[in-house]
Amino acid sequence: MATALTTIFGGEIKVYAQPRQADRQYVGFPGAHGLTGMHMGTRGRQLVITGRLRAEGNDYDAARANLQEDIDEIEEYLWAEASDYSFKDDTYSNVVFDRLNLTPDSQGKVFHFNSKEEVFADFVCFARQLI
Amino acid sequence: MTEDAKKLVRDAQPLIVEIRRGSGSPPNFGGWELLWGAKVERIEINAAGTPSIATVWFPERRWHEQPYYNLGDSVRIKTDVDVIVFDGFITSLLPSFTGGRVSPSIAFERNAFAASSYRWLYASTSPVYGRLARGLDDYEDGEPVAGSVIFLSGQRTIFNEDGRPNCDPVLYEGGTCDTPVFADSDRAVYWTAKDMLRYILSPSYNRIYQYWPIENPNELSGLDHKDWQKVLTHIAVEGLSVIAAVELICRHIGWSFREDYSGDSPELVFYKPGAASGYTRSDSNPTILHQLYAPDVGNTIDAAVSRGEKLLYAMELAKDITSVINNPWGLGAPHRFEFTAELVPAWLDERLEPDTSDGNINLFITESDLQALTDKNEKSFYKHYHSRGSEFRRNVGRKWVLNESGRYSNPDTYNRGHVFDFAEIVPEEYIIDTDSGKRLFAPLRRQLLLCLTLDKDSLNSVGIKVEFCFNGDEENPEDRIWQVIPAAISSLKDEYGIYIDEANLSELVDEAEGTITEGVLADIQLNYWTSLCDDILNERPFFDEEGQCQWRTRCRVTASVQLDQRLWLQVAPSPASGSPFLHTQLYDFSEKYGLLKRTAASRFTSADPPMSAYELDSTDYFGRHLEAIRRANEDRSISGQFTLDRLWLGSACSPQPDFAIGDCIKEIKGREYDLSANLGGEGSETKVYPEIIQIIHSCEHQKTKIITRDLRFAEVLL
Repeated sequence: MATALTTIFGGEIKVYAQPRQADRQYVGFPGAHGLTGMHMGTRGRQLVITGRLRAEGNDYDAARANLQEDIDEIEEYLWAEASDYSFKDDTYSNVVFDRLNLTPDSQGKVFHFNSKEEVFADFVCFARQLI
Repeated sequence: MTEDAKKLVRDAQPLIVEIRRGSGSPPNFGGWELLWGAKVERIEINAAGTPSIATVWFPERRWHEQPYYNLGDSVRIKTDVDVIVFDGFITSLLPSFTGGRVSPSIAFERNAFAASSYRWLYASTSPVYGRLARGLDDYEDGEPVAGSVIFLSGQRTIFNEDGRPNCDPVLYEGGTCDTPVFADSDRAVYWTAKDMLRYILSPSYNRIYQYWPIENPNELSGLDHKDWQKVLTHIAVEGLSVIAAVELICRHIGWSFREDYSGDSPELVFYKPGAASGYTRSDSNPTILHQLYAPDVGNTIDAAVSRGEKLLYAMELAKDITSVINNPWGLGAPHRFEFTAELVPAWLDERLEPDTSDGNINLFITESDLQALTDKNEKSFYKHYHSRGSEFRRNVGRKWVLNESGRYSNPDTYNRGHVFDFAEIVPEEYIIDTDSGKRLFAPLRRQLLLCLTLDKDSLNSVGIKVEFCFNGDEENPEDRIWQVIPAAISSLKDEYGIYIDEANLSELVDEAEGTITEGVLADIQLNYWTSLCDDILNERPFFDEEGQCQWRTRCRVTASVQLDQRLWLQVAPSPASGSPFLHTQLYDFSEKYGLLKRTAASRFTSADPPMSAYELDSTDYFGRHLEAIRRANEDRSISGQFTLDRLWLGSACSPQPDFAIGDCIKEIKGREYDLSANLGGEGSETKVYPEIIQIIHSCEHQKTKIITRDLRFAEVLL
C-alpha cells in the first residue's frame, strides 16, 4: 500500500520524476578515434518534491518551533527503507529519500511569518526510485 | 543478435554466485543455491600451486550482520550463460567499514568473503609422507596379491632415492586406478615423472576425495606427453602437501598446471609453458595463443570492434636484457682417477732402531710372548714400536704416504725422492695443458678416496686396497709378491697415505710364512717388522742415488684421488642472443657431472677376471645442458600486464573463459607488435611468447587483466 506524499509534506507540493540516467563507462585507445562504452546499468529515477510547509503558533517563535517539529518528522524518512509512495494518480515504487533542503528567498530568509500567525518555509526534497 | 564483444557499447556482465552449504566435519554439502545479493568484486585465477581466489561482497548488508553462509561452504561463480569462472570454498570473512569524511564521502560498510579454489583445500588437507609398498603379507607364492599393500610411515617419500630405482614394477591395483608403489631397489624400476604424479595424486593421498575425486591420475590432461616419461632421481616430497609435491615434480621437467572448471569439481590440467599453439582450445591443446588488439594511430575502432578483437585498454610491457644469460659457464665435479702407486715411508730412518741384542732375540716379540713379560717396556721393541709402549714412536713403521706435496723429499731428512707426479699415471689429455705443456696440478696434499672399481657382488666400491711386498728388490717387478695382510689400517685425513693401527707390527706376517734368507737377520721369521729391520740393518737406502728404491719392504695402495681440474665448460652466445653483452652465470653442477676414470695404472684395470668400474665422462651431456640453458635464457625477457576493455568470460557459443593460465600472448595487432622471444638459437628458430600466469577479472570495473611472464623460469629439460 503506497503512502501518500501529502501525508508527509502536506498538500502544497508538486512532484515530478526525472528520467533515468544511464551509467556508462567509456574507455579510449591511445592514438585511435573512438571509445567503447560499458553499460553499467541505470541509477534509478530521481524524484523531485517541491512545496511549502506551514505551522501555526501564537507568535513567530511558537509557530516556528512547531514547523521545526514537522521538519524533524520528515527528516526521519531520509533513512527509511525503500517504500512505495503516491501523489495524485501516480504511484512511485521503491523510493528512498536522499536529501531535504529548505530554500531561502532572495533575502536569504527561510522562515516567514504571516498575519494568520503562521510560519511557513519552502522546500525541495530529492528522492530516488530504485527501480 | 550481435555478440557483445562486437558491439561498441558492451553490456556489463552479471556474475551469479551459488553456494552449497556444508554441515558436519568434514562437511557434507547440499545442493547448489543462489546466493542472493552477492556481488563479485574480483576473481584472481592463478597458476600451479597458488590457488585461485575470489572476493564477493553484499552491498545491502551491514558489516556486522551475521552472514547466511559459513566458512568452508562451497561456492562457485558463473556467468549468465553458465560458464563457471571460479569454484572453491569460503576461506575468509571480511567485514570492514570506515566512517569517511563529510565531503567527499568515502564512507562504506562492507560485508564480504573471500574464497579459495580447490587447490587450496587439497594443499591444506593432504600431506605426503611415508611410502606405500608391498609387505611380506602382500605376496602369495611369490606373486603380489592384487589390491594389497601396506603403508610404511617410517620410510620417507623419496622417489629414486640416491639415484637408485625404488618403484615396484607391478602396479598396485586398488580402488579406482592402478598406482605405482615403492619397492626395494634390488627388484625395482625407476619412477618416471608421470609415475610420481600417479602416486601422489592417487586416492590414497587424496584426503578430499569426496570433494575432488581424481579417480585415475593416469588420465589427467597433459600427462601423455613424452616429457612425463623422464626419470628424475632423488625427488624428495616427504612433508610437502600434495599440491606442493606436484609443483616440485612439474618444475623439474619444466611443466605447470591449472584448474579448469566445468562440472561439480575442477579438472587438473597439465601444460607445458611455451608450448601454446593454435587459437582453438581442446583436450589435446590446453594452451592456445592470443592476439590482442591496440588500434593503430589515427584509425577508428569500429571495424576492430565489429570483428570482435580483444581490445587492449591498457598495457605495461617490459622487455629487458638484465636477466639474459647468453654465456653460461658450468662447473662439474673435480676429476677423480683411480690408480695404484707405491707409497714411501713417512718416518725418519734413524728412528727405526732394531734391537739385535742377544742374537736378535729381542728383535721382535709376539703378542703371546709379551703376555709373559712383567716389564714390557724393558724391551726396546715394545717401548718404541708397540702402540702401548712408554716411548711409542708413533709414525715409525706405520705411516706410508704418496709424498704428493713433497713434504718427504728433503734429502737431509726423509729423502723419499721427488714429489709424486700424477702425470705419470693420469692420461695426458686430462692432466697436461695442450697449449703450454704444463702439468695441470699443484703439489698439494690430498686424500685417499674409494676405488671406482666395483665389487661384482654388491656393486659397491671395492674400497681402498693396501698391499705389502717383502721382496721389493727383485729386478723384475713381475716377480715381486704383493700381498694383502689382515691388519687394522686407516687412511690419513690430510694427506694421501695410510696408517697401520695394528698394535704389534710383528703380527703382520708373511703369507708364505717364510724367513729372511740372508744378511744379519738370516733365518729370522719374515714379517712386516723384521722386513723393515732387515732393510735398515743392511743399510739399504729407500732411494739410491739413481732414484731407485732399494728397500725390500714396499707398500702400495690402490685408490682414487681428486685432482685440481674439473669439468668446466662455457657456451658462446648465438646470433639470436637478445643482448650485445656476454651475460655469464656460473652453474655448479658438481652433483650432476664429472669425470671419473680408472687409469691403466690401477691394478684392477687388468684384473683377471675383469672387474667393472664406475667410470663417467659427462662432458657431452654437460655441454648439452649448458646449451639448453643458453637457449632458454639468451633472449631478452618479455613480461607485462594487459588490461582488456571488457570481461572475457566466454559466451553462449563458446562456454569457457576466453583466457586460461598457460595461454600465450602472441602479438598485439593493430600496432603489429611482436611479442615473441627466440628460444631456439641458431637453426631451430623456436619462438616462445609471454605466458599467462595470472588472470584477474575485476568485476566491479568489468575489466580482465592478464599478467604474463617470460619462460626462463622453467627448469631445463634435456
